[in-house]
Amino acid sequence: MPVVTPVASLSHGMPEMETCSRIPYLPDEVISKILARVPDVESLFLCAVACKPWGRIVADPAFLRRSAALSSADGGGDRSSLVGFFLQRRTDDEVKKQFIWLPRSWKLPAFVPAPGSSALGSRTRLLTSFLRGGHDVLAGAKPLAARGGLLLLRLSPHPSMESADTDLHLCVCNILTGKWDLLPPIDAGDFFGGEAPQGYAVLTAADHGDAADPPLQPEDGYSTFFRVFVVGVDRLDGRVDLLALCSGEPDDWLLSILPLPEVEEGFSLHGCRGAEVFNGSAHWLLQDGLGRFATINVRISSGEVSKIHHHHDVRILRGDDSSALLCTSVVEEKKIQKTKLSILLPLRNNRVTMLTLEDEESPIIAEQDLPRRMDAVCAGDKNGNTMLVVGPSYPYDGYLLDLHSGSTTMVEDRGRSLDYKTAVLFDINMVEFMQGRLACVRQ
Amino acid sequence: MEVDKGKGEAEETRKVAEADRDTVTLKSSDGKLFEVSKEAAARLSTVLAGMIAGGSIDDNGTDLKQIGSEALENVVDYCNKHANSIPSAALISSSISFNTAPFKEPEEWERKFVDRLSHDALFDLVEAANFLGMERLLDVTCHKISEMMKGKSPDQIREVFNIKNDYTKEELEEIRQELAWAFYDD
Repeated sequence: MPVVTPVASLSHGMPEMETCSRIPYLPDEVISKILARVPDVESLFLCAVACKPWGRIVADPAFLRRSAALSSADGGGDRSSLVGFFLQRRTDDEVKKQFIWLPRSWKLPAFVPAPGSSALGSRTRLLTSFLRGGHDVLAGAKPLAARGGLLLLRLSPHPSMESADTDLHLCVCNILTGKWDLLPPIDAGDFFGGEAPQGYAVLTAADHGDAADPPLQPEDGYSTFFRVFVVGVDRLDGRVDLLALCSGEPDDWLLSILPLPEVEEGFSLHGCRGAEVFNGSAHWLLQDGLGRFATINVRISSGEVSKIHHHHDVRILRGDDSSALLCTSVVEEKKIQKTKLSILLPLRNNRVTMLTLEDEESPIIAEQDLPRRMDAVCAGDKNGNTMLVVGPSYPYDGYLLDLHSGSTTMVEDRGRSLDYKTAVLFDINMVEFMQGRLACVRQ
Repeated sequence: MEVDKGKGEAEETRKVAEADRDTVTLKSSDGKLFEVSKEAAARLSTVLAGMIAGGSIDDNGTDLKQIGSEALENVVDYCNKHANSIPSAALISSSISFNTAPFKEPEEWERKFVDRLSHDALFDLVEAANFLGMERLLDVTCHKISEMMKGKSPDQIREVFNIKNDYTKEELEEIRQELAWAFYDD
């Protein structure tokens, strides 16, 4: 065993070299190493505030990808995953009885972090806390769809808006950059047989793939480009209208109407809001209430539209008719993970079933018993497990259910103020989030 | 020819003598001498490994002018502790993998080792580890400093690292706003 001793001391009797703090000299790669190990996102952000060189290190996407803070956060580094949900607060009589007065901020959509989540803090907060301004415009707004840090909302008519009451006012909030865009009003009288549309999608530059020309996504950068789809079915003649709005200069919004196949009688987009987006397509679920399902599929890059009927055994599919949700599920086949278009179906006997639409012979992927009767509200993905928010009828508790493990976690909501029926699951890519927020220090 | 041969033999003898010694002597900037196992030094420090291989190790104490005695004592201490606790060469890491290799959590003894260090000693040790190309020690010390950053305000961070805030007032306001938007409720 080697000995650790100073074998001789030439400086014996000399005064101590130094006792006070000196300026540590650490090269950039050591600073980068230290910053990469900072355990949480908020501390990392505070480090970026310390000085410019540090700010530049932290804002570098290559740094962010290897940061421990980001890979331990819910976003899981450089991929999107579920961090919580946006929803409205309740305004029914039960809630009015509880509170003497409702605060002004009550009308603003709230963000609720998924239980156990910390990437965006652990408390319920207002949508506007992520944005520059927007308090007036967003009062009463209803979340419709979310994707990759973008949130699509329908605004409630505002006295200052110079337009007809039937107009549909949409807004896209970018939580990554804190900016929000009002979309040009859509005259609902001209589309969807005069009724409100039922299906929405908000899509990022990344959803458009590499095929776009010019490319929508700058190399190693973040594009604020987005596209919005609005879908509605005219109940009288089954005609489907799909409107596509594309971000750009405010005067230059692109509005296009895509031809869609008609829908058979009885089928509707009932209860449908956000599209399920995967493999470069947006999908909405059509159902007839008798256990039959179909999907409307829009290829994002080409705008190509198709409608597919699914011929599953009606006895399996006959669940709680109207509350089926479209989702994706990851299935392992011959040791290869495949993502498949699926539906979540709450059954009457307090069970929830996940069925893939791509396999009509043996569609059941997962089944779970629920503690009690629950409604599925929205489905998303957290760490590879499909989750859904369920808000049963009064007293309106919300749960996140992990379909694979079967565990349910109750959403913290002391005042029982959250209207789960309006919930939209929200996913975020933490690398993009930090890049967006630190854009001001990147040179 | 003869002379050359003789010189070669002498070289050979010196090398054998050197190889026989299982320690190397290191000299700090303030002239203190430390002995460390040659095997551990070569395994844990790419710089010392290079010096040993290149024969530039001085029996009377290899000068490490950039490292003070306190830091060097810690380096030597770490090498010895490491030699005792981890017999395998599994932890050898090359400098090529700098910043990209997945980080292994510090072992219990490594944690204790850095926890007992004063603030200045820790920073000196980071510098020494960086200078000597001691990847693992650098990892462990950086990890400790990273943990110290948790929950610190930018002012506190500046104080710890002795860095100057070079943001303009406007820039600072902007970035503070982003911070608030990102993490705090309004």
